[in-house]
Amino acid sequence: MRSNSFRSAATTVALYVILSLLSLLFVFPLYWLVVSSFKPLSAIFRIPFEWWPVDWTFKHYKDGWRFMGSVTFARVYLNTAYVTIVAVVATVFTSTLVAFGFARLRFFGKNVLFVALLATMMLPTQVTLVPTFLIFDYLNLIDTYAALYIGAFFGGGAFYIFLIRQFIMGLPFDLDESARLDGASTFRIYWSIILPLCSPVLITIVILSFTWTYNDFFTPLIFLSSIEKFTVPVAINTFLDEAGTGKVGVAIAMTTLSVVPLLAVFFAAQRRFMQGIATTGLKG
Amino acid sequence: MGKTWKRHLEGYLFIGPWFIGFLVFMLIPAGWSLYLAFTDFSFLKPPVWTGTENVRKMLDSDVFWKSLRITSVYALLSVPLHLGTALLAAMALNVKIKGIGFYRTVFYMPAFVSSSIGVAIMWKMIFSDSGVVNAVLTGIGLDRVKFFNSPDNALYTLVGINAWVLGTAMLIFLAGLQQIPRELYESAKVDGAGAVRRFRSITLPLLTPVILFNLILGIINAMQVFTNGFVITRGGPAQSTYFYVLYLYEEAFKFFRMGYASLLAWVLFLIVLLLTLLTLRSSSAWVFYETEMKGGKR
Repeated sequence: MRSNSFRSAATTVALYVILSLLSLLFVFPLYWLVVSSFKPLSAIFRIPFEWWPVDWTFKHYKDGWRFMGSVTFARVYLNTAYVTIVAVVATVFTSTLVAFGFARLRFFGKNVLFVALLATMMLPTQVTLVPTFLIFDYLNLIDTYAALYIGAFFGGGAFYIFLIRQFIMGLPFDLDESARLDGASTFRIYWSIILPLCSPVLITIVILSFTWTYNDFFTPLIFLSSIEKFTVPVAINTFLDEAGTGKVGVAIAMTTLSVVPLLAVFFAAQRRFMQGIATTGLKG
Repeated sequence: MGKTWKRHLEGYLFIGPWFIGFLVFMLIPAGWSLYLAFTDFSFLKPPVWTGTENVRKMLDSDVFWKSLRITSVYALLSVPLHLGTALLAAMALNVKIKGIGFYRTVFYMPAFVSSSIGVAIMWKMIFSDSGVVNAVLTGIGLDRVKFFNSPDNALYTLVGINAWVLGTAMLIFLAGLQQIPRELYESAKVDGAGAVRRFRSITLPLLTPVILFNLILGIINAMQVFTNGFVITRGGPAQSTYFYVLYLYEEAFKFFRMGYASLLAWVLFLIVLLLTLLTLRSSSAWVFYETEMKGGKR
């Protein structure tokens, strides 16, 4: 008995050691990024590695923030905030409308359309890329912010609609029925009864669409050309174009800064969000 | 009569936003690009129908085969590595000890930030010729490795760093592990089954539906790999990381061969579709559904 409990205590300690070592592996790259951003250029690649900056410098942040010509990173972050906020709000509104329609309303051809919705998840974005470029050109959307968030006004993405639809299917139908007997309109049922109950899945949707828009590199890479409209990912990418080592510190500093909002959102909502991800695989 | 009509209309109004988007940004572009795939089209002049000319050009192109091979090698290596490490991590985290939530969060975090191109830049620096990994290697007396600067290594380095973002697959595995009844393990233990035996006879079979899900997602993602090849290596050195989508992107927006690029996109779609169907087809041979357990027969 005694040796048994001793053995399990030993396994527990071993487990903690292994998990902690692995955690280091997951955290170290980001740690490297943060400390390097405060080191002078000559110290960033110094051997052996400086675990803590010997000489602190904020030069990379100051230089990087200035960015290019009259465009500073303040402008870049404003652009990104504008695009991201519009995209998230529009996604939440339109994706829930559509999901409600598929989950609760009866209309001709619903099942066929729902299968079409699921099928679009399989289609790689590359297939529609060239014609989308032509359509955006025709609609004068090239080099506008709207090119980055227009999709959010059309349901925001099949995956979001699917997630919310599954969630609404799980809510009791009696809610709708009794409201309808009280004379509530369909929109009223959506807005005042179903939508408030969707808050758990909406948190997942907000986080997913936030990270998607905030990180989206491909769309602005193709549709934006003026620097004063750049969002964070394409702005950081320009540091790599001017490959000279002189830009390394600046690239590291601005990269560090760009990861901060992501980490903030992650740690604020990680519990609920991780639950949401885990269940997608089991229902699918 | 009027009421049913109104009901249908209401349904269409609700799904309207998606349906318009589906038509304008999915169905029409998809059909259009299928047409463009058989044309010579450079964006400046209207498309000219060339029949199977693009197909012939593609099949004759060394770069096409090369990028397809590079992408396949990437998928073939990175998908198993990714799923294997994710499963190991999920098993390590599937214990009831104090503070396990903290470890789960830390293990998952890279997946959350990984879609940022900032992370790609981070890897570029960490694995650069004078980066911190080489600092450690020389520190313990080994030679430096040109992780990204050598055509022999760059692709494998990209495969390796992809394992860092195991979080999403890991969480899905973890949820699957937690659904396996504890009693199964306990009775197996009583019957004298060792840890390896328990893993092979209980964990692995009961996890196969989740493995299938992660496998399909993994294949789709790997075949469409772009960002790391674009940001870190720019397809190089010596085109050793010239992934398929990178090739497609350059054909379309660097050389403005948009008809040819549309063909490449459709070929990619067909390849991914074929791989997905083959995986699903094969699943009846290796995926074990719990309902079968009750039936007793297989």
